[in-house]
Amino acid sequence: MTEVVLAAPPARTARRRLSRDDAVMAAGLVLLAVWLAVTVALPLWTLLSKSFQDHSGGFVGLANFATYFASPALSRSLWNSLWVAALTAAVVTPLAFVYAYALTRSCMPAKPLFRLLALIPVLAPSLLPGISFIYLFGNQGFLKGLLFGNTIYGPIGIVLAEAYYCFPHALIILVTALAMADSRLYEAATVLGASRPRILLTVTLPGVKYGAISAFFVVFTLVVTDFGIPKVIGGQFNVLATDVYKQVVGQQNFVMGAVVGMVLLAPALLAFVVDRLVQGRQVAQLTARAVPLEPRPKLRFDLAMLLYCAVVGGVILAVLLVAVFASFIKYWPYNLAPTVAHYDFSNADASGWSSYWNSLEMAAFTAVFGTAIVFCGAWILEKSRVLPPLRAAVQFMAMLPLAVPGLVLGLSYIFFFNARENPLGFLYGTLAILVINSIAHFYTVSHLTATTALKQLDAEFEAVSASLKVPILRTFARITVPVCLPAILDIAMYLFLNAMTTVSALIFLYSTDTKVASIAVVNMEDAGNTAAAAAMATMIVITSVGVKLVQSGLAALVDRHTQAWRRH
Amino acid sequence: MRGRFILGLLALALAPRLAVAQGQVTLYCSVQEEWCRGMVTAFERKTGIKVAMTRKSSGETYAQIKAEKDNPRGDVWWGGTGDPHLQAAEEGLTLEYKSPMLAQLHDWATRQAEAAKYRTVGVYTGALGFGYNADILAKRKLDAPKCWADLLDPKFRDEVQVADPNSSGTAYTLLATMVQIMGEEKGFDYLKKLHRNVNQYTKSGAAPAKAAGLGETLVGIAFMHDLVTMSVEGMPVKVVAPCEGTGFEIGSMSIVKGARNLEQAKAFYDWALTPEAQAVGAEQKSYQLPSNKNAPLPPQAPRLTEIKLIDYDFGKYGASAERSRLLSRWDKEVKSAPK
Repeated sequence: MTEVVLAAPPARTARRRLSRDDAVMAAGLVLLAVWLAVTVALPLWTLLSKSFQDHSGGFVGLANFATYFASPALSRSLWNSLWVAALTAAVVTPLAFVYAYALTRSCMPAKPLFRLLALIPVLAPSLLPGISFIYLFGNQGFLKGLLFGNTIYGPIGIVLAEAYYCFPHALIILVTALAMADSRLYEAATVLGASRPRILLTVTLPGVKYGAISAFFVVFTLVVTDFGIPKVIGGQFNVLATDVYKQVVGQQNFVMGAVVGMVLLAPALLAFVVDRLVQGRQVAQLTARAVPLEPRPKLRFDLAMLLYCAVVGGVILAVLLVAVFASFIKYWPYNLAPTVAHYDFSNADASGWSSYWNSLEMAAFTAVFGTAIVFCGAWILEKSRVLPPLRAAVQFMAMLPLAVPGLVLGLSYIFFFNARENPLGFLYGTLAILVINSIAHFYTVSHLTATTALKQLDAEFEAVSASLKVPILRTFARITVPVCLPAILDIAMYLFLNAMTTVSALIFLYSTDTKVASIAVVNMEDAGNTAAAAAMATMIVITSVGVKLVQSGLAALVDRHTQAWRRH
Repeated sequence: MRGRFILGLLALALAPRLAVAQGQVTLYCSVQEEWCRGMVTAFERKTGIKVAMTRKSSGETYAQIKAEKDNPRGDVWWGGTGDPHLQAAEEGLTLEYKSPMLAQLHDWATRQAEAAKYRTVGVYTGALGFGYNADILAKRKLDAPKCWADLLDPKFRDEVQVADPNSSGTAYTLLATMVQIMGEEKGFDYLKKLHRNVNQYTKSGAAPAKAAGLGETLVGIAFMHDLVTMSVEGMPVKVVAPCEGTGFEIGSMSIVKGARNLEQAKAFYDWALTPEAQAVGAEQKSYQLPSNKNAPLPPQAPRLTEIKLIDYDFGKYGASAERSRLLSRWDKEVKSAPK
């Protein structure tokens, strides 16, 4: 008792000094919690709670889960999902790591080009790699022989296409993780005579552990929940995500669909737990005294990195080009004569151009508002120490969207936003709901990128600011945002590109006036018009590349103005 | 504050663009995009009623109507295979309506309406069949299959593609057709033998038609009109009406219960049953057969008179209990059987 009393006065002064900042942070945290509850948790609950009900809505406890787990088809899908996802993550993470390493730690030429190449898979609707892989490895494919008699329609195709599709998602996290490093550590290691591999193991890897594990889990969860690729190229190989589709769309069985949806949340829960475990051990890379690492030219290393990136980037580009090629030929595989007829959308889709503009508008809003919300949110979570239980809840809600298939998210939004008693009902059928849905859908990777960037900033910045009585918001505006601008631009780009190409959730939310281009692509493909679908998808890619180039220019400008400290 | 501000901004920037036009109708359309749009244009030109159309597969549309049940947004659901329509009728998601046009319809269309207590009606039909890629068949020097039984020939091992009945109405039609032609035991026996020759069970019902066109499979089981579309597009697909007889689908139309524009919905419904409206499909390269007796038949469409149709019992096989029973039996005995 006495000790507590004695210790109290200094503690109280400290608390008083921080209290206004704490209040700001607490308010921000509450707002973020409300936002995530309204756009993620509550909508999901409206659908997933059906897993505890019978068809007429009565409560049945876990009976549906019992029924579901008793069927052998499920355990097979569950197992299929897990091993395919783990294999893809195990392949993609190291591939992306080396690529990210080359982009951040080498002096190879043409880095912006390689950055752009690596982003191609998110520039294109996921249908595109599906089409390409079938043209390459299908029964009529050019490279069919490479599969040694195995079929592309099944796990091989899924892993290939998913690895292609997930590469940029892992890369964006790893680049952020590798971008910031304290060169003093490397100098010290070199001075102490550590060999290059040893530096890699003892300095580099521990520094990016958080990013690498995040990347692994992001890929894992993306694969588990992705439905488009298994649908196009998975053949009869069943995974959990296609089971949701089968139950809801094929058999009109919402209850079982909700059960599978719940099972799908398990990987998110796992990712969340691992994330918490790793987080505690991650130390800030960029302490206030840090001297940012500047890669120095090393001819052999740079050449090796260049070669590696050329191979990986080349493969990525080649897959895209196959699909582009598909949009320029008459009839695969019978008539390979070139034609531009498939680009005449006027007969294929009269609303073609309006849906294209809708896409642009929707993606722009998603990028602007999404980045603001995600980055401020990640900052609040990272830098505040108030209301720990709420922080944990918010953290979990931020991880959730990754584990939710678009189909589930889309239907959830109908249940939630279209309910008569919901005051937000006016959003239904507008472009705003597409924007909100896209922000929610792609929240997790953006959040992890922001967190990775923020984690590398020393808490000392805040501590010093606080002791200088600088309000925390000013520290945020004057230090945090400028330092993190590259990551912020990456997040904006990521949101923009995904919003341009996403389909599965939006299909339930678009209205006649808010039809977007990616839905036009799916409709054309459904109608058997593969070439026209590829053509429209190519238009999306061209747009995305254009926007990406603008962003790169902007990033270079920002770099010159805000990142000079990295170079002194 | 920030959250609310952003929300307010969003709402301002993207304020609902609801056209408050005099007459409008919200159409959920479940056939191909071109056909949907052809319908919209023709109806708008005819009546001046503005149509707000969105296009989704019939399973997706059913899911949407069910999710919107407490606050319906759609008015008419036009097109798409009959089972989800029947299911919606069974669950009371759609409205009973007896169109004055019913008298002009073929029996199969009105029977569909009777079975659903007039909550749905047939607008087109198409028979199930299979198509083969003539180029590949010639290359392999195989005889053209003519009957369902021919598909069991070991020469077609891994050459037949069909959708998974769990996700596709087309494949469920095949399952129910076999059960009705041969009886349940022999029907399942057939499917088990067919399983050996199936290279993959696709998710979507039309995919095998596309795959046959692209040469990704030799034989694709699908609705004949989807196969015809492939051959009209210039692919070497030959369409076969199986000699034993075959089942068919009834593409349907329903009015959503609680429709906000009921008058316009009924106007669309009546119009969609006229010969004029039913001629739109063929113009858009969709070769289903129209339900109005006076509607012109597309010349490319497989004639029902040349196809042996079975007396398909939509009431029995469309009911959800029977459907789940057959599907779980298929999962257990066919899908998981060794090859």
